Amino acid sequence: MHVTLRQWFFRKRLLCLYLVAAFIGVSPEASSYAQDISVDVSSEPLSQVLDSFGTSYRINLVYAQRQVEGRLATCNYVGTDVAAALACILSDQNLSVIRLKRRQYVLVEVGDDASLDPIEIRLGTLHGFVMDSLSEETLPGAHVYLPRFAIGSATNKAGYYAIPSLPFGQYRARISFLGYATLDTLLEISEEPTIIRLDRQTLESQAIFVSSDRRDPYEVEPGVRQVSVNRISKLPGFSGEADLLQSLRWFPSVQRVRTNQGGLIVRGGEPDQVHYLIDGAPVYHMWHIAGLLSVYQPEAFKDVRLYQGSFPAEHGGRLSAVLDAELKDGTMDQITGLAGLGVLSARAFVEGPITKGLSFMVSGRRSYLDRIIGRRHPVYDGSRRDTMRTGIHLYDISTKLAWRPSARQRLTLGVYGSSDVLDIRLPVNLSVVGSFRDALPLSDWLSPASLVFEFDTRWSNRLISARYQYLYADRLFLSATAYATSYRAHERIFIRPTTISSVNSVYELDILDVGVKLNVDYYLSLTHHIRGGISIAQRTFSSELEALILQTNTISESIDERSALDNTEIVLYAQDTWRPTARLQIQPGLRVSQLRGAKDLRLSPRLGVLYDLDQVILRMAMGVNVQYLHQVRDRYSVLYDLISYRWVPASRSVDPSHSYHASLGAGVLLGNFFTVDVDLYVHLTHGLLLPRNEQQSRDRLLGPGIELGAILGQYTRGKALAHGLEANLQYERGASFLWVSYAAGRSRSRAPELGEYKFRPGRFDIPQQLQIAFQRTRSHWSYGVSGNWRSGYPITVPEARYAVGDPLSEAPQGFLYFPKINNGRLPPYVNYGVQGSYRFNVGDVALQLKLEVDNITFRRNVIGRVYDPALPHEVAITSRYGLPAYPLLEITAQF
Amino acid sequence: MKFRYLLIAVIFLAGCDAVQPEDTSLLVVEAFVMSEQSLPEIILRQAAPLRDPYQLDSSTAAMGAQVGLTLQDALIPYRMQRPGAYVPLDSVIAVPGESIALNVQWEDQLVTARTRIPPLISLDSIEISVSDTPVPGLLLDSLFIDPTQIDSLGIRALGTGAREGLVHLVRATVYWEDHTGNDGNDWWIRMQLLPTLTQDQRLSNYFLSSEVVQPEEDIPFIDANRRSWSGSYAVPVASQTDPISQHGLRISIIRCTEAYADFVSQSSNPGEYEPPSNILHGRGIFAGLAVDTFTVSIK
Repeated sequence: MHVTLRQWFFRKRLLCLYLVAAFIGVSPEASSYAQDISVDVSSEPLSQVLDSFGTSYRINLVYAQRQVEGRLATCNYVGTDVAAALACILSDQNLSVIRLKRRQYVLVEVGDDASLDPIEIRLGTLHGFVMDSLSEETLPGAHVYLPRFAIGSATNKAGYYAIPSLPFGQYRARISFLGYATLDTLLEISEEPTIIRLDRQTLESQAIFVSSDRRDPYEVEPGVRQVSVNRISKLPGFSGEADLLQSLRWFPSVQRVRTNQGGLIVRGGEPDQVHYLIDGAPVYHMWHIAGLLSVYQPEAFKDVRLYQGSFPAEHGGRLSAVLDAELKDGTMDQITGLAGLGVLSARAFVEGPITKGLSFMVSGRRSYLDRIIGRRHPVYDGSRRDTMRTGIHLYDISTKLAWRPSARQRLTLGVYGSSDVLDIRLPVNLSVVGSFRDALPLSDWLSPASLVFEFDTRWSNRLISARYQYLYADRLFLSATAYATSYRAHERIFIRPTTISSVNSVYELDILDVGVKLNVDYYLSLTHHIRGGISIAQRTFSSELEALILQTNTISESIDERSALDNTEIVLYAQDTWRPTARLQIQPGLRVSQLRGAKDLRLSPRLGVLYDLDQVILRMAMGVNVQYLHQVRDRYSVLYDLISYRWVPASRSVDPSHSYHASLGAGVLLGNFFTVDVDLYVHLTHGLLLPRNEQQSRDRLLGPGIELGAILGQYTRGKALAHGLEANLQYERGASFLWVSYAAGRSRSRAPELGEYKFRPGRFDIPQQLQIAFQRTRSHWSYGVSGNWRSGYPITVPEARYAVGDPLSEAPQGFLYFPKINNGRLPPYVNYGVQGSYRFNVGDVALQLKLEVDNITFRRNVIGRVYDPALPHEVAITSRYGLPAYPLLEITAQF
Repeated sequence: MKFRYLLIAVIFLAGCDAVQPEDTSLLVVEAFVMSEQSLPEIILRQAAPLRDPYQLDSSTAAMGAQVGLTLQDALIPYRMQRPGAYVPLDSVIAVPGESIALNVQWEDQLVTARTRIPPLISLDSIEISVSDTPVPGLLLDSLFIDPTQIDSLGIRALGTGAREGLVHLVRATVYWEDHTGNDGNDWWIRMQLLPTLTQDQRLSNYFLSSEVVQPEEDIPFIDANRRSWSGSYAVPVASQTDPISQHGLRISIIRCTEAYADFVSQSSNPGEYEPPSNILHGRGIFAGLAVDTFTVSIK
């Protein structure tokens, strides 16, 4: 593994930064500084003395009025020790102070034994779980905040919070979570965890509670977008059906890739740089046919977090983002469900209790086009029989079992599966098709054919994840996850253009990823929350290609290749969430990874900082990421890698790619109804695999083959640089909701080996994008409008034309001069849509009828350009256009 | 004032792309040095704007260039014989195995290239067979869906120009001797079957390989020194009883360098990408070749 001197120095700098932060973080005394303290009082009211002391020396003293009422203080102290000065003031009072954190002390009663050292005063941990009041789903990311002490804690993935080192007693607390009504309550320190139940917000009250959430400085981790599943799924989706990944495009940092494979681009990265996790297990192909739908049904998930750029140390393995989604456990209340019917698919969701402590969730979706038109159709012309196949369908299903044997333990088993089938055989009388180009009644052009085209492609995901969460002690929380995930693809093509010539190819792709993770949360003190863990993942990637090409009955060509690759990645990480003051949160972390058999350890330091200015939260994040997988596809052959991209794992011979990311941003609360988020980021990637010929089209039957050398020979190492500004404005007041997102940025890459010394626009470089959605709900009706304006995608534009002859050609051939890759851009993309829905009840069933019309202005957006350089006429330029207006309808029933 | 700074920040971050102005000062070279033949005529052209027709005349010829070939340290100067066509001042034979360099000074551009002269190649023998009876076949110009039609359901695009018919399949096997042995050079072979069919008789050769470009060492020997390759093409006929129509078949074999092989094999889709050129600071191809062709009449 090669590390350049420059990279080494960069890592060193980051490591030093981390060590400095960590050193400061674990040394409480190091953060205090000496100041001259002088106290000279004689029989003065204790409350006045303490107030005066706190004001003079900027010490936050927390006490109850009853503790100091009627007491007099006498003290003469000169020195620099705050604790000693306070001890002097409180002498002979049966009172003492405990230092909670820097400049913050709490007054405690020590009984009659005045000599009792404050250290011996009984301290405890305010701890417990935050969950949904009805379903008892734990709520990861909820915040428990003690306003008087200006301290708090965010719940971990199991919904657990802990605020340690507090004197025993009761504390007034505010508990908040996105989408839930904020709860003000009294919490008491106890041995057993306290269960806090939050009520879901009603729509009308949503604005106020969202606003109050934003005031909590612990609401957001640097670099994290916690998605309110309910909110994001209500924004318009491309397919008109509820789909989580489709809706994520409303974030300014996220772009949808309009390719067959689908995918998301986060902050100018590549689609393969986003790590998709379901219950901690990776998913390798998360899109259905043509990228119309993702495998994420919103109803099935309780928590979705998008980590962008600089992740917490727990996450890694990809360069630009991690989408961490947690399946619902299933409600403990009663069996409830939802059924929906859309244009593309029908879906259903059911959850409920099985026995005490045991619940389930099942969610499924399936397309139904094949059920209407059928999969196989006999074709008969009076003498010959044939079959037309139209087997196109998709499904996905998620299930989860959650067992809570006690308040301290929770065991879950999540199972996920998805499948896509595209099985087409067209016995077509092409002579008829060629004659009638406009009107084509089905019966006219279907006929038994000895010359056929068959395309049978199917791919599937399978995932199983078992997770055990255990509260070992009030300060120590353990979580263990074991998973196995697989992705399989099958691509078969059979083409018979003449009765004695044919192409028959079968391509199989198999990915298996098995891993275990152990995470530990240790609540060291009021100001330090340590998280650490270890994970091991074993991945195997195998592919197989068998193809037989018969030119004639005597000339044939065959290929039979197999490829098997694997790697094992071992990761250790540690992270400290340090809150030195009520306003400041610093999160240093270090992730260490290594491939089995490789020499070098890869260090990925991370640093996140949050600073709360009441109405403004400033945030900064920076870090190094390493990606041990490269996604590639053959760029020549039409027989394989059609749907499935291939993954090449890093190994001794294939270096991983790595990136440096930094972001700076602010979240601003404007009044009670507006929130604005603005972020600046820069992202530099090294070791990216870039195509040697970016414009190479797949125009051959056989390419270089599927072996590692053949595929890597089509790529070269490159660098990428992305930077930009993201802004998001939300206005939410009562039943009105406005969402505006704007992104300005550039994403460039270069391949030094190809002579590119300057960065050029990457294939998904979009300098500007503005998205606006407005929705309003009134009684039974909801309606909304949306608009999307963005720069066109980069294209390579020829700058001139020339001609070159050949000894075997009668005349020279025309060529286009493409001196630079992606030197042009398609026209801007504009799309306006309208949405409306009507809700009504039939008995106990709540029905909703939803209609979306996309591209309502019938704008023909240009999605591609084709150039024809044939001599001698001027070069013909033809544009390809996107879809005109299309309506989408969905009906859902909730029971 | 604040908005001004915001605007500057957005422009800095997002910037703007402008398509580069058309560059028509590009020099294009077409030069094929045939093994054991006199040094060739060299054609120099220039690129032209996309909106203009491209005529192969003086409007696109690169005139007034200083052209020279360097062979065994000897410089052979060229002169322009007609617009854009340059011929050597001396008659020199290209000897197999030699390296040869091209230098062209045109306007303010210096364009260079280098190639090697391959050993001679000759077709040793040819076997041709024609199917006794025609077989059903798809008659279509291309299997690719017309990209300009893809916004409809695609059916019209798929069917454009396609029909079912009957074809005679012609198979040709060519043999040649390879005495290059281990001469340290990685020669490539280009083979082509070119039937002289009328336009409406032409078929997609997508499955029927009538041309191939590949390293010579990848083609197996059939005996001590001979290699062979088989290709095929189809000729449509109207009915089951029709014999194959009489036509000519030109069979060509070229021994060449990898640069020429890359240029030819990546010239198939000129609307989307350029073939790689071995001309430094220019475009086109400068290649040493050994060519043999043979024409037969098929009936």
